[in-house]
Amino acid sequence: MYGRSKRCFKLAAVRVMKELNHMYWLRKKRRKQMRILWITRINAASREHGFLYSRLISGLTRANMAVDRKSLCILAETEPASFKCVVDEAKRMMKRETLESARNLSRF
Amino acid sequence: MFRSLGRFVRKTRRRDASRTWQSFRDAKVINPFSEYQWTSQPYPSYNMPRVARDVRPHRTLKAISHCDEKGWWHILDAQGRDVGKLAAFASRLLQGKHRCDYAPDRVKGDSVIIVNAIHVFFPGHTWVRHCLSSNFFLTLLLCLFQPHLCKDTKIYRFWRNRRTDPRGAKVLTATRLMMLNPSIIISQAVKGMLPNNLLRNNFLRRLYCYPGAIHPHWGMPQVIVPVEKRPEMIPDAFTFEAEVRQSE
Repeated sequence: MYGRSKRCFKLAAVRVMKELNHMYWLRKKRRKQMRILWITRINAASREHGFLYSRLISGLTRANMAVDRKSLCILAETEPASFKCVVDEAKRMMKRETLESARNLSRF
Repeated sequence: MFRSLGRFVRKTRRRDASRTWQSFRDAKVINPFSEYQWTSQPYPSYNMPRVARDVRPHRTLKAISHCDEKGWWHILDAQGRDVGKLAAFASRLLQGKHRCDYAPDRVKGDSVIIVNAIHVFFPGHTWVRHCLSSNFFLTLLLCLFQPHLCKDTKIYRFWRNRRTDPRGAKVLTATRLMMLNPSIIISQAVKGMLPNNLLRNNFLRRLYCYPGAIHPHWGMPQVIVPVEKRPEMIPDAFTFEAEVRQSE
C-alpha cells in the first residue's frame, strides 16, 4: 500500500480486496516455495558428495526410504554425517543399477 | 614514438557525417570502398595485458578457492573457455546455490574473480576468427565458401535514458566490445544469467573480471601454473666449492 491507497478509503478498499485474494493463494504458494527451497538445498548438499538431487531421490525411492525433503534439508544443514549415510544408501542403490543396466531388459 | 593520433587532432565540431573514425584511438577515417570494413584494431602492444615472465603455457582445470575473513573467493581462468559455460558456473557460485544454507532472498554467495578474460572464446558464428583475420587468403576463402562465419553477429545494446533519449540504444558488436573492454563480455553474460531482481546488483558487486593474467587482490592466490617437466640438469664437472674443499 503506497500513495493514496494508504490514505483514501475508496482506493484502499480495492487494495484490501486484492490483498485478501493474494493471501489466499499465497498460503498455497508458500508450501510450494518451501519445497523448492528444500530441493535447492538438498541439491547443493548432495553435490558436495558428488551426487545429484535427481539421483538421490530415485535412489531413496528404490531403497524404500520415505524421508521427505524437509527432513532431508534439516539433516543436511544440522547433521552432515547422517546426510552422508543417506547419500551412501542412495548411491548403493544406484550403483547396483549401473552395473546391471547394460543388458538388462527387465524394465521394458 | 607517438601513441595515437586521435589525441592530437583538434577537437572541432564534426560537420561531415560520412567521415567516421574507426575507433577513438586513432584518427583513421573509415573508407566505405575498402575491401574490409569494421576490422577491429588490435590493442597496441604497450597496452596489452602482460603475463608474468616465468609463466609457462597452462590450462587450469578447477577453480581455486580461497577462504578469507570476508568469505570464499573463487578464482577462475577464462583462457580458451566458452563464455556461456563460464558465466553459468560463475553465476551459480555468486548466488550461493552450491551452499546448503542457500536463501533466495539474501546475498549469501561467494565472490568470484575471473582472470584472462581477453582470451575467452565465443563459440559459433559470433565473431570473426582473430587468428584467421590476419591471413588475407584464408579469410578470402572463408568468405567465399562459408560467408556466415565472417560476420560478427552478436550485438550488445546499451541504453542511456531508455525512453527519453532520441538517439536510442548504443549498439556494439561483440568484436568491437572486445576491443574496447574485454571484461564487459563476461560480466554481461553473468548479469544475464543472474536472477532479474533487486539482488542482482549485489551479486555483480562480488564479481571481479580482469582481462589480464593476474589480479590485484591482496592475499588471494594467482592462477597456478602446473610445472612442466624440466630436462635433467647435468651437474658441472667442476665446482668452485669442491675445489676449495679439495685444497683444504
